[in-house]
Amino acid sequence: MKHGENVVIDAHELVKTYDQDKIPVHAVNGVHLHIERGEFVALRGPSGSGKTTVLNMIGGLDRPTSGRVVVNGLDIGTLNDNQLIDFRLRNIGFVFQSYNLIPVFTARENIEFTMLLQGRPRKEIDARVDELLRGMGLWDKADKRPNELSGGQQQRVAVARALAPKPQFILADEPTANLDSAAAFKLLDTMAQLNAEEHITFLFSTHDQRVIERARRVITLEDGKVVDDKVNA
Amino acid sequence: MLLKLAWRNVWRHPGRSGIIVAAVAIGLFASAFLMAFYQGLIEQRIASVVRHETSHVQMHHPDYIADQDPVFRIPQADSLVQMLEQRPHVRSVAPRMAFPGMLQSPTGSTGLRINGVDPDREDATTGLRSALKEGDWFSAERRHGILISAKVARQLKVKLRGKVVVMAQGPGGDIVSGAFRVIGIYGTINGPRDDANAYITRSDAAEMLGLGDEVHEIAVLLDHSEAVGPEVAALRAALPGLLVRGWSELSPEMRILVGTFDQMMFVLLGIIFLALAFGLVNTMLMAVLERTREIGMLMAVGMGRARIFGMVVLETLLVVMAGVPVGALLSAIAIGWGANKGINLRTWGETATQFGYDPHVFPSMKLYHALVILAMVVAISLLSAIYPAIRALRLNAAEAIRK
Repeated sequence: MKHGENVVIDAHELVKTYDQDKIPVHAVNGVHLHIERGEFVALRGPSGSGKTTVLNMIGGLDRPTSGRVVVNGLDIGTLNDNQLIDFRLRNIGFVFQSYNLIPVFTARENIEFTMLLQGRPRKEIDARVDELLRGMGLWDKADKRPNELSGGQQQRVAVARALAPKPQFILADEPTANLDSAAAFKLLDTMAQLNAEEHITFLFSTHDQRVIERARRVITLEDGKVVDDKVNA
Repeated sequence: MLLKLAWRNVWRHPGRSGIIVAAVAIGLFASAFLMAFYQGLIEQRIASVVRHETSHVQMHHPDYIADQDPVFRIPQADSLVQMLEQRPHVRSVAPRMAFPGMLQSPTGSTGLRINGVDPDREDATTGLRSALKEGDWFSAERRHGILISAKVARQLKVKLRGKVVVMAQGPGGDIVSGAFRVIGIYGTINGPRDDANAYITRSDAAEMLGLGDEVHEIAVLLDHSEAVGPEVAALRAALPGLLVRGWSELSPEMRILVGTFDQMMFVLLGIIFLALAFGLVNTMLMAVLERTREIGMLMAVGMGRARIFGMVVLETLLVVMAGVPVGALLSAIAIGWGANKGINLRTWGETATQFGYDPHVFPSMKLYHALVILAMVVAISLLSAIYPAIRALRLNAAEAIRK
């Protein structure tokens, strides 16, 4: 585990308990995490180990039963629902397993979406979107809608959307799960390059060995607990 | 951005949106046409009542109304009529001797109201001459002529040129009578009223009742109906000894009828709008529920509740607004056609005439009513959007994304 002033995400004793047929189920059971700025971290573990739940709590999509998540020194548990939405808009980029693009928007419109929500100036938006489209190899797909793109292209659009407003960190839930090897490697290369160039912190849940091998730090979850945290050689 | 997103969402399922557009268009058309039809029906009925029955204003002796006793008369009628004819908004004045009487023929008798009229003034005020179906109008040469309805003629088994005797109570309480010849058979669109009225000249009535320059009733036709209120007020002030009433007081059944129609319209429009609201709620709810994951993603990436709510409301408004021009165009064409050609209710029988309605209805739509319907459609669509929008807001982003 790492400690320092550069900590972006600081999760303390995270516990998440669900009631399943009135029987409490501990999806996450006392997780500690410290992620520093610019890290490229994989959260691995078998299905049901609590990866997605941890990501949801860090991203403010779900509230922990106990414990707290501190992002850049702010305990996000103190925010109400509306404040949390605004917090996510201004600090976190999300990449989902099923891409989750807006089907009625083109690639360009999907990428600029969060910047528009933030109310950024049009000029800044256009420059940033152009930069991302070129960087992601999507320039010629800018005016295509998601259903006209391959899975890999859609996921790159999703990553570009997450990166567009230059968030504090990106949470990616199984980003390569629906991609073939070529598309997965291309996506990982792009993410690694952006991590290096823009110093954006990446935290992704995965059980994809290809992702785990590319990560610089791998945290292993089992039964809702961190069982291993190591830096890849 | 929100508008672009909402607009494109609307057309994700063109078939479904098309059905809603059609529903809005049909709902709007049905509401507007129904309202225009009833408006036309009522306006024509009121115009008919005013033109052929009550006129805009009537004056009586204050006690005449209770029992129509010929003893209660308006004195110095001719000078009063001349004074009224000088008033700026007065188009024509019809003085009448009006009293209950009995009409007898050799084979039958019937009770009705006898109207002793100045023929030219009566025609100018009520258009009675144009209601003649058979025979001739009054003339100075031919005295003791009477106009009756076709039904009364049948009842009395009397034909044109046939003789009848009019019997009535004179001003002194005695029974007076006079022989008259049927010079004309008349008929307006109000059959029951025609059967309850017969017309003779005022001079013949005066002779029979033994009266001079006196009448029982003075009917006044104005140049437009908006002048009724001020004119009634002015005449009441100028003629304190007379009972002066406007058409709505003279025909309270019309006032009730207008109120009843208003209520009926309210119920009918309510049913149409309720059906529209159910359709909209269902469609928008379906649109929200099938996009659960997408809405969850929008929330996750930072689209606030107000924007999510706004998106659903905008989608509803846009689909409604797409239907409004279609409905408005359909309504304009149908109402315009109806207003020009008229809708003939005789196709469905003679019921309209039996109740005193013109069987040829010309739909009429006031701008105010059109705006009210439009505002109601917009209000209904906004209200219909609330529940689906609330359902969207209730979604939990983390759970929604997993769906």
